[in-house]
Amino acid sequence: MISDILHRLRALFRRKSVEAELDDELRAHLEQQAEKYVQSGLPRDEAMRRARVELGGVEQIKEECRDARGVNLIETTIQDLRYGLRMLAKNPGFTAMAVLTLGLGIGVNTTVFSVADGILFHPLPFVQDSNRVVGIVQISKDSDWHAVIEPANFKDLQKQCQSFSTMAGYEWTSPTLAGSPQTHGSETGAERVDAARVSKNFFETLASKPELGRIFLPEEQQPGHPVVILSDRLWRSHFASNPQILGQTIHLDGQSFAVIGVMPRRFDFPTGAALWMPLDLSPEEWANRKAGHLHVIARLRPGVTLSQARSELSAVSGRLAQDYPETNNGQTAVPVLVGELINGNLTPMFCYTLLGAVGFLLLIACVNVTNLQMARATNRWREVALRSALGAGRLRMVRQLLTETALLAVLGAGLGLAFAQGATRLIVSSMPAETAVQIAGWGDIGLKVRALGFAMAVTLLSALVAGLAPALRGSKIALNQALKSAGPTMAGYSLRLRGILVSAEVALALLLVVGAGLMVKGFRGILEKAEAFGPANLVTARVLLPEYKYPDFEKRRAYDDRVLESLQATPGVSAACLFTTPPFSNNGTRWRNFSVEGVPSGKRLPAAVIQAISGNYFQLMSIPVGSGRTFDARDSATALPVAIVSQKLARLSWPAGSALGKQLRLVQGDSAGPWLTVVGVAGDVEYDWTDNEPEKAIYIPYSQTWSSLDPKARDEWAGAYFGARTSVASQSLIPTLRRELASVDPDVPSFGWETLDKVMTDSLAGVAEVGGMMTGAGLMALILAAVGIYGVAAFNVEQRTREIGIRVALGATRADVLLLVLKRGSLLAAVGLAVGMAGALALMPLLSAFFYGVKPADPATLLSVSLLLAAVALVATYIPARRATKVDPMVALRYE
Amino acid sequence: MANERMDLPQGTLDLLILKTVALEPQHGWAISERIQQISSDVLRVKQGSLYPALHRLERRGWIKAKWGASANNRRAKYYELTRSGRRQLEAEESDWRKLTAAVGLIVDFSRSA
Repeated sequence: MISDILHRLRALFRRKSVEAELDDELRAHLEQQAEKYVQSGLPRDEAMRRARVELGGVEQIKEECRDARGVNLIETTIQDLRYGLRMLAKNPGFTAMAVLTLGLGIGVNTTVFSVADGILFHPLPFVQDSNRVVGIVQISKDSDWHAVIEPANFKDLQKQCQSFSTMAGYEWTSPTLAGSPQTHGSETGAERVDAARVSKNFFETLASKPELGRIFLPEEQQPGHPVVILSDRLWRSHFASNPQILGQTIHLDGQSFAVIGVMPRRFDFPTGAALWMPLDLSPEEWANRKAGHLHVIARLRPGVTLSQARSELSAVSGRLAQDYPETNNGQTAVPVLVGELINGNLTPMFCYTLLGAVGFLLLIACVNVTNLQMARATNRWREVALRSALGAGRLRMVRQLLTETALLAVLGAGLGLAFAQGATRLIVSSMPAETAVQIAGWGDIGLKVRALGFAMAVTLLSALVAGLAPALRGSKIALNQALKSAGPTMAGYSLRLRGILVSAEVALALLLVVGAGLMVKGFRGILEKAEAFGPANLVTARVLLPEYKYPDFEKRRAYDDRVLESLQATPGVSAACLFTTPPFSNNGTRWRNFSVEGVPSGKRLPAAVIQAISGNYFQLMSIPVGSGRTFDARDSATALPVAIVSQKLARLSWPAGSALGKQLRLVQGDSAGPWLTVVGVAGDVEYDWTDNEPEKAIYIPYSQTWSSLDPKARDEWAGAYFGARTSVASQSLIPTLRRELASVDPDVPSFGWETLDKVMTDSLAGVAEVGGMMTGAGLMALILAAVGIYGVAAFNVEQRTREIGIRVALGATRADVLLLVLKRGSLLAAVGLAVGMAGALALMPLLSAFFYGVKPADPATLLSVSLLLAAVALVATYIPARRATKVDPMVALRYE
Repeated sequence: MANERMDLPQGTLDLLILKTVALEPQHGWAISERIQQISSDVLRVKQGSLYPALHRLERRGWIKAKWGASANNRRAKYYELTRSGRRQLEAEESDWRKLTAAVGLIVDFSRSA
């Protein structure tokens, strides 16, 4: 073994002396053999000749000895590389084309991989072993996916489950962060922030430590310990990264909180949280088993698998269902990998679709390069024939040709990486900041080591895919063809293969463009739905009523009334209203559980979006009120508590008859609000477009908020949305409206002045990005396919030049020649289109299941894309066809 | 019978080389001559396959090479058996005897019946 290695090394590094020795050895042999012949009587030169003949081909023997020495692989690879580089340099046009094509494919794939890696595969890089952390959600028999868990159940799960080393719960809250005393009351001074209230073990479960300070102590989980931990983002933006921040106080909702820690820069859980507070529930709140509001995360104990945890949770849930049949019946706790949990269903769909799309693109690019190479191979037949005559085995030739392709791929990869670097930066920066904050891992996207590894794998793969066929084909050129010095004229098999490849290209391109088209169409469909609200003519804004000036509901309501009046009086405004969250804004929707009268109170409660609105909300938003009435002056604070429900809710809660006159009430924690009488049923609205369908909604009149809503909601929703419907484009009126609102009370800061347009665009930004990327990929596919078709057609013409010359000489007209060439190209394109269309028809139902707004059968899109591709193919074939008609028969017949 | 030259059966070249070299160190040409001589001219080594085989055996460490002076004072590369080569030779010899004995049994089988 050791001698083996030593030998190989020696052969590698002392090549010259090894070669010289070999030479000497063989020469010595020849001499001795010749001696023998001389001694038997032959003349000297005859003896030498005989000896040589007997030995055989010296070069071949040397080659075999070299083989036997065993370093041949490395030597020949270096040889191949040198040779390949030379050949590529000799053909700059081809090389540039191939490198660009491969570079595009590799670059685009690396880009999409980086994005997918950042937000899908590793969205939580700050969590150690994030695949050991799970979220625990509750599902019930009626399959209402409900993520949150009741505090009492949480406690039981924590106590009874052995599969987890730590378990923690958290919930969202939106306190108002006050500015410094000087800025208090001004517009920039105060704002709403998203915060998470976290239980014991939260940070331990995530195995994360603060950058500064400490985490909450167990005793701080009891009510009465106002402490907070800041996120790095908040620390930088609001506290200027003050290193002395620990111990200072900040004001949330008018209360003072001491800052005891700052989390590291990358820590972002739950996604978008600006600060963390202790989950200080009272013992009564901990005992609540009816209404859930906790998100739960847990870390698997070492050695426990996910499926083991799942079965344990299922068993524990079963026990709880037995012990508490009223509340827990039919409920099962289920573990979900935390990465999957925070991503929702959209992110994986988008990522995998994009990855698939750019994978197709890479295939198309490889096909193009294959075609380019095959064309080139036909022109190199002489070289191949010579080498094969000199003794190069087929394997050797294949290796050499593959090496050339590998070189192309590596050069392409260099280009591709540069492209990917720029493209990822572009993609990351083009997402609006408000949306980017909500996407886990977005800020972390970049060319990481993983992406580089992926790029390498892709490079190797494309080298193989693009290079294997031409290498196998190119090395096959047999000796008998070489003897016919004319060489192969049609290389028929090769031409057919290339034709198949081009058809495949066309099919893939069709699929890609159709996919992109459908997504863009779906996206536009969402926008169109949004258009129904007239978003350009609707301004929204929010205010923060300072506690000290508006301590009770009466004062707040009075303020709101005055604002509505003053806004409505402004010229250009046709109506102004009040609501909780705008439609199509997918964050910030407020949910509450509710119970329906007549339904047993113990069952798990459904939830609905809650909107506290002024009476003209429906009219302003162009939402139809199907039956009953909308709110009006009757529904004052002292009158009967009423509600309007959405159609979906009415249908689900009272399937038998009309919802009018029925009663329901909102439930928060252990307390339930008053019974609300349904007075109207409104059309369904999507408050969160990511839900793929409208949510159940309950509307209560703003004047009754105090009585109908629970204290928590009242506090949280104090900064309601104002909406103003304008007769002209709202954007221009914003400064005026701002002034008007400020004039009602200059001490009240307002913020978030945006047209509904902008609110929706921001929330749709993610889809828009994906749509943009798909469109880009589709365009690239189109171009590549066109280039591919053109290449094959042009090559075809070149190969058939003599034939065309003969035909023309025999009387064929220009039109005949044109038709001849077009026929082949059109046939290829037609086959490709047919296959592509079949594939698209199969793909469409799949896409529609996953993407919003995509219909399962969309013949219009399919047809238009096919026509587009057909036109492109036609043009690509036409250009060389025209050139064919210009063939001079005299030149062609002489052409060889 | 002496004129019936036969080509070496597949795979026996290694064995013959090792055996030849075991007797005393030889250079390539001499090995080929020796094999011819000792087999009474029956076995004929294809000279083209000799040297690759020698180099292969050298790489495996069963023979080692040394440059020296040949009979007529020319520089020649001498090969001699190494210790592991000796072990390999014994193994191949025993394999060969087993193989030929078994084949012989079958060939002789029909005659006895």
